[in-house]
Amino acid sequence: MPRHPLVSKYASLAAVRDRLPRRPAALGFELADRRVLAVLAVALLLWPFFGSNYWINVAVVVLSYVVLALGLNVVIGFAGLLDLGYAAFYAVGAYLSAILITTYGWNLWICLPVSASAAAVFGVLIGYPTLRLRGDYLAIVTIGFGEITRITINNLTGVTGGPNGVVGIPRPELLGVTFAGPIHFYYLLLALAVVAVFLTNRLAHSRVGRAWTYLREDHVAAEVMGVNAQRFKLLAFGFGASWAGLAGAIFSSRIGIAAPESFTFFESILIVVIIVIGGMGSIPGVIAGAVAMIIVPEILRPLLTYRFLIFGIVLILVMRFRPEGFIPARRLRVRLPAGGVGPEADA
Amino acid sequence: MTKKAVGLVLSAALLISACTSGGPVATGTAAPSTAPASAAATTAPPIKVGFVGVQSGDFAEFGKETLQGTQLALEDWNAKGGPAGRQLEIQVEDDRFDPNQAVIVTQKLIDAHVDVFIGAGASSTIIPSSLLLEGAHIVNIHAGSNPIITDRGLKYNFRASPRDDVLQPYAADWAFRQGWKTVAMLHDKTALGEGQAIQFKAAFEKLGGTVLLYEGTTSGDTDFSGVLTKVKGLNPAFLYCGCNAPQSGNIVRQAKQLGAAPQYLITDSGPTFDQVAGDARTDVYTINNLGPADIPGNEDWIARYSARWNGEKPSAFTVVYYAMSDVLFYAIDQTGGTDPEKLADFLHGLKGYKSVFGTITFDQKGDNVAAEIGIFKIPASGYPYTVAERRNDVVKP
Amino acid sequence: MDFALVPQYVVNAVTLGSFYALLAIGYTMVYGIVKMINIAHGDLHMLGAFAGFGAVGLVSALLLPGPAVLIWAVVVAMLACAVVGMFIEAAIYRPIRTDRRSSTTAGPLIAAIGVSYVLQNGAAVIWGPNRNAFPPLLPSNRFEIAGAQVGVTQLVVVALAPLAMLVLYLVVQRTRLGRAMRASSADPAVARLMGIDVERVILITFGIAGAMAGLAGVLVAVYYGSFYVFMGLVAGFKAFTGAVLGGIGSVVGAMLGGYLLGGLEVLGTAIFPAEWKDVFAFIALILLLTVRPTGIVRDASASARV
Repeated sequence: MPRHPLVSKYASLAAVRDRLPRRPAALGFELADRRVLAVLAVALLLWPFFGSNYWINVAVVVLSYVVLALGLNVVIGFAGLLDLGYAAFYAVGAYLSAILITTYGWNLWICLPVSASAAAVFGVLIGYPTLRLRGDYLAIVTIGFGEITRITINNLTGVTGGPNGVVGIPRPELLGVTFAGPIHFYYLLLALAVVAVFLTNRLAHSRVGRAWTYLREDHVAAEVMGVNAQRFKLLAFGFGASWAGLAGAIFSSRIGIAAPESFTFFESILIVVIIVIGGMGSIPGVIAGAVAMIIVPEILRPLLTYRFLIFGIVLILVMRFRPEGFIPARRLRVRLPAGGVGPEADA
Repeated sequence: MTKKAVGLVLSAALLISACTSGGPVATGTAAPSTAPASAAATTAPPIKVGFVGVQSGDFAEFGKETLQGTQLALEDWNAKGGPAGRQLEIQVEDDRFDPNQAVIVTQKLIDAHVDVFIGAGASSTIIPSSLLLEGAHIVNIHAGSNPIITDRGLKYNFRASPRDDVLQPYAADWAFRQGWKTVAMLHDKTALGEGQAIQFKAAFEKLGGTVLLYEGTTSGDTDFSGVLTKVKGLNPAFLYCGCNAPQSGNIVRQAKQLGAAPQYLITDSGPTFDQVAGDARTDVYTINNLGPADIPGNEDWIARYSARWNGEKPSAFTVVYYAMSDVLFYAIDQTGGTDPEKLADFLHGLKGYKSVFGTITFDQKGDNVAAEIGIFKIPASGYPYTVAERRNDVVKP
Repeated sequence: MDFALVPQYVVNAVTLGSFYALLAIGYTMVYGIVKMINIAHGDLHMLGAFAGFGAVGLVSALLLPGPAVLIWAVVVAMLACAVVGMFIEAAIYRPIRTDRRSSTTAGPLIAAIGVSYVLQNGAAVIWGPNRNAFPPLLPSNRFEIAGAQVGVTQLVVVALAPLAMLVLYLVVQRTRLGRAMRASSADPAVARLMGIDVERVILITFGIAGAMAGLAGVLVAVYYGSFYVFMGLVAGFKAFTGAVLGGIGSVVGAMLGGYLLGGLEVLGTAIFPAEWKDVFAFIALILLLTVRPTGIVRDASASARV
């Protein structure tokens, strides 16, 4: 099909592909020294055998937030949609799994994909009314949905147990091993986190990821270029939400109950803060953010009432002195030839 | 090596070093746990008490008042030489009323090898926390009122305060006997408040009373004019508030301004309620366990508490926390140590222990079946309240 | 719904709406000029209550009549909160905003969260987390007007709030400062070129927003009788909702939105069980935004639509 004269022959990425940097490594880490990665992997796998239950528990919490933050990173970081009600999807996953396990006797492993799918559907449903809204209006609507979800869960005592929540969720079992201690959940979540890192990284470098980047950077231009804003926004919401659903299902089985206090607005904000502090859009950044945001308050625990005061001060200082986050996303830079790139350049 | 890699390695190093540095340090709190040297003079190892409650965030005032109760009990025992001749030390942790946090801090205390455990503050946090403690064989005592907690057959879990399915039916019975046949009910949609309201409603209706309205409030709200207008339109004989003290305070204050109901019965009361309600507190009825002012021999306890804590008056929760800490330390003293099996057996068999809020007798489930309760009328001067009626029999749910 | 109660419902809605509107104005003014959701705004209102309480304590020995003390408390609170608001802007928000490395939305938002934590928990460290009673400064007589119970304090609030908002509206529309504010909101770059010291205008805006929050804080404390360090949490959130409802960036919108939110909450309680009140209000908000994506007052903030 002949190209329209007004469309540059560089309209497709193919033309500049040879100018792109080398394809990033599978996990997104441009580690010049693969041995560091290997050491890290071994450390992550072996340290629980030497650590106290308390710190393994903390690590489990860190990993849960890594998964959550990676999911939300797709929505906020990749697609640029300011979702401040992410805890709603977390709640859907947790409660659905809890109810299916306690009322119908299902086991956690079947509930995982069910929770993920339900959360994804919920994400698309929530995304739909926001399609025409810009930035801060989008934010308030997502906050609204988050609150609606939480209040509804709290009110529907017959289904969700109301403020008591769903109690008595048994420990999951796999291949004869009962997940009695934090160490089992550690390995489960570590595996899930690795999968999440891998998948979101591949997504970031795929056509879908590029579409999200276009939408985020210049909405109007992207639509003109043929990116179906509606479809990709809903895809972002749905995909992002599914991770929260997964994390939620594991969460309720780990704690043994699903209660409304775990899914407040401040939970949503915490995940947003993790992403921003770590480096919005960047996968290693998100991981660093989760580690920092969970471990620092744990270390600060002895300070009791001063804990959140210091936390607030830390937030301010970080945004003041390192606003791009700990490990910011690398912006794709393409050096174009000296002669220009328009059709006339080749004349 | 890129900056990113350095960052990752540092994070990993931090994680590894933190976890291998052993358990967390035992923390001191507002009260120094010093005491005169015990007569035994041998350096017996101190007893570590783990305490979990809300220490930060907007429910911090509840955590503070309960901690103060426990600390006073701890200091009283330390001044006597400590239970079984050993001094008590406390490690305080914060759960922010969140079950997720409760699990973390309970695990932290278990790892720190606490000998006994007091708390947590709310039914939703006690439920997962007590499971962990059961597995770790640590005797724990709490004041959660939801019946579910002890119905699970845990051996090491003890509840010092009366259960909702004892307190509320008694309150319903009393109200009905006053000739109040219709009620409008509000609760704060928490496990505690709604749990109380459910029990009251069931009992009241069973007696033949009519519940005209049964609705929940949102925590954090200060304005109740809408729902109170609704209540006024229904003309109930009394308004029942199953809400936390500050919220009840606001509700009663606004209700009296509107003239929503002629009488009021609330569940959670105390100095905070008095403060928030202001003059509206007068002649409000509340259902609660007996307090030191009502137990002969304990009247000066309130003065002692105020002297210790800057003139503050104790709330009902404070009193319960003092009593349950006290009985726990008593058990340690009587069994000569902190062996969990001996402690649990001793407590299960404990009958008629005189505490600052009445008698304590534990049954096999860990409930205190001798809890003395009563209906109180709040005078204009606030706490301590006047007894309107007290129940003298020991009742099981 | 019992229709005999409607007059009382109206009174409730107007009272509640006055508080929401006062706070919403602060939110919307700040948003209009720097496009930032100042989450810490609700905590300024908390500081106003504490400042007012301190002011009352200062003059208690003089035994002045109640209304005079109230005016004194309001003035002190407004000044204190204006100063704090301006300080936060100058020390924290401005450096972050002007730093080219910051993301335009996320940076200030997270900083605001930090400021909110600091204000709340700093106040908790200083004054403790307990509730405090605010002395009743106005007589507690109640009247019946058209079938609804109204109190003296209520009348004062209902009269004072729109008055303050009217004054503010006139300032924004009729004065040079107001023109400078509107210009800086619409297009800061051009305003700068026209000779307006935009940064100073922003500072003044934060001051005014703080003052309104302080006023709201004292009124809330007097009306409800108590205050505590975490009272800004929910209040700020509601105010933000009201501002968005009305069209964020518009002062008139904030007023309308605040009253509308008050009305929605009371209506929700009248029709449905009280625990669904906020769900009702949020659903109404979402429906409104679906139909009218910029809130009631259209074109409040340029490029609000995607």
